[in-house]
Amino acid sequence: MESIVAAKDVWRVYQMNGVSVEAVRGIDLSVEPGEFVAIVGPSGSGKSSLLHLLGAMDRPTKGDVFFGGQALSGLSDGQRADLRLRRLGFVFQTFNLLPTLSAAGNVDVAMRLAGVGHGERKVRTADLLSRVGLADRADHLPRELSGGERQRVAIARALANKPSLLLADEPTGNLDTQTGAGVLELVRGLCDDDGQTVIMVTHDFRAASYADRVLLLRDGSVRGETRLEGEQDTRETLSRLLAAEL
Amino acid sequence: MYRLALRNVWQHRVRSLLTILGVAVAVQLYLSMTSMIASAESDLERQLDTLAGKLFVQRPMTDESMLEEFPSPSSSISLEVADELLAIDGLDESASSAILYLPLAKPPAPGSPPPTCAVGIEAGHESAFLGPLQLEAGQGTLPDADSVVLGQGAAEYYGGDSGEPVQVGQSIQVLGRSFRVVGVLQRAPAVHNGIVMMDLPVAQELFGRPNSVSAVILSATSIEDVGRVKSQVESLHPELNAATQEDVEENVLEVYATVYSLADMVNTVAVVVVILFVMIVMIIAVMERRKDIGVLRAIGARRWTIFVLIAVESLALSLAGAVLAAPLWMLIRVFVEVGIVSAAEVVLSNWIRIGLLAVLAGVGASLLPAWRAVQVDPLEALRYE
Repeated sequence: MESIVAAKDVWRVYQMNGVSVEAVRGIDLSVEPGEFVAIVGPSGSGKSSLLHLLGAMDRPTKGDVFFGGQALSGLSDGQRADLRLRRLGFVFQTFNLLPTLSAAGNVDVAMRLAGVGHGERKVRTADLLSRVGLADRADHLPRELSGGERQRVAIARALANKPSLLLADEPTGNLDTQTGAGVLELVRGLCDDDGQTVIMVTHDFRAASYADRVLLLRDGSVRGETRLEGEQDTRETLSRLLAAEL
Repeated sequence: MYRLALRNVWQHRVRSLLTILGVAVAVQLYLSMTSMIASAESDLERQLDTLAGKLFVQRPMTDESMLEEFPSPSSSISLEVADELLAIDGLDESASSAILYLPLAKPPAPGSPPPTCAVGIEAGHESAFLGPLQLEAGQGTLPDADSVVLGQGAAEYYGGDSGEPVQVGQSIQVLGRSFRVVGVLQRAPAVHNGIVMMDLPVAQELFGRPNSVSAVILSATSIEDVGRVKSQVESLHPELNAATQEDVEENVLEVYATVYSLADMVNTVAVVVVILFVMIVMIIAVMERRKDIGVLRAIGARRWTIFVLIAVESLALSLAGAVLAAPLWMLIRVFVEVGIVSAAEVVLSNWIRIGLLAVLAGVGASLLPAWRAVQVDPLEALRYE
């Protein structure tokens, strides 16, 4: 089966005040359809930089990223924007909702950008908000929502254009444990029920436990990778990973 | 995306309102200048209409650096010369006359006509000076030596402290002599607005000019004969200046050129002010919304979409300002002098220009901020660590 997204020897080097910073160093990665992959690492390990490369928000210094078999290096800025709009969905740590739009408006805007018609937008917005448990909060502005509710709206927005891949950058980073767990349950449900492919970046091993596969990142390189099957196996595996990390 | 742009305008209501007011004031200034020019051009056209098919003969001004005035108070032609000119073949006698033109009050400003002036004209030949001008009340002819026909400005001037213009049947005092008002003209161009038209011999007696007049108006029987009559005048008396309608128009345009330039400059400044004003506000708006723009770019908005978003917001502000300018200007004009109907006429006749100005300003003002917005890197804007 062709992978949804693949990275082949990708590097990302930043020039900062004349100093080269290698945020991502020669990573090879492949994610299959329906897979939930967690990329775990401490702050500065390069996991967000890797996510931005996979999400066509940034260009690698070396190597290439492939989406559905197509190399992203050959795409123009506009084509990359189209890719992000129609085939990718983003969830950010700080939610990044548009403050002047209601919950429904934030979900709707992604479909507006994609040129979806009014009727279909209305139906799909209602469905998505219902799916994330916020049907009764559709008309509320982001400032009127709790952190967990905002993140759910952000997830609904990310799913608006039926993306092939959902990218989540520390989705529970600004949430308390219980609320974060609720969001992760939601994401897990998307994978199990809808076959949604998810790549999640996190520094939290507990959050990573919801994934099918965990990649351990450190200093821009993959240091470990493991599959998680069953709750018991997950605890043992993560404990090993955590011990290795320490 | 238009909805998002308008929401952004609404979100910062105070700032948007102040911007709209600023645009309204600048557009209102533009309207005032345009109205002033339109009024001056209308005045000029009406003034020139009175000279259609006519020759205005007077002695040229001695100071060549000064622009020629029509009629000129300093001009003096002897009665003999006037009679000679009036005897030229091919003239419409009833529409030709010698006139004596003298100010009765000081002009309010250098170069502007006096508020009132005496125009002595041969009885029965009043149409030579009045031309197609319409009467407000009474008659345009002088039945006797004690009667006068007033321009609107003169009627108001002689109304005095009461503020009410002099009416037909009332009397006025001119240089110690009482005259009966037999007619009042409708509001007319500057030269005609302040006239006190009286019998020529009476004017000559009043001003101590028994043997001279200021100018001679010659009306040809047909337009085609104007050139021939002019040639004859120049041949008989080359020392005199014989001006046709075109000559007067050329002279007046020279006078107005400075006014037009000034008005154009003010209008240009108004447009530039609108553009800069809106541009500054939009640059601030873009700076404040870097993160929102970054989010839109991150979820897949193209650069063009961001550009349109900023342009629509800018256009909304400038159009709202232009729309507000119209009633604002009409309110000012009503309080200043003209009626609401006249003010509305100017607004309606300029609505396309105002609309284009608003669109030009809105789009022009959006270019720089929109360019800055599309340069926003989503990664930079979303950085939160």
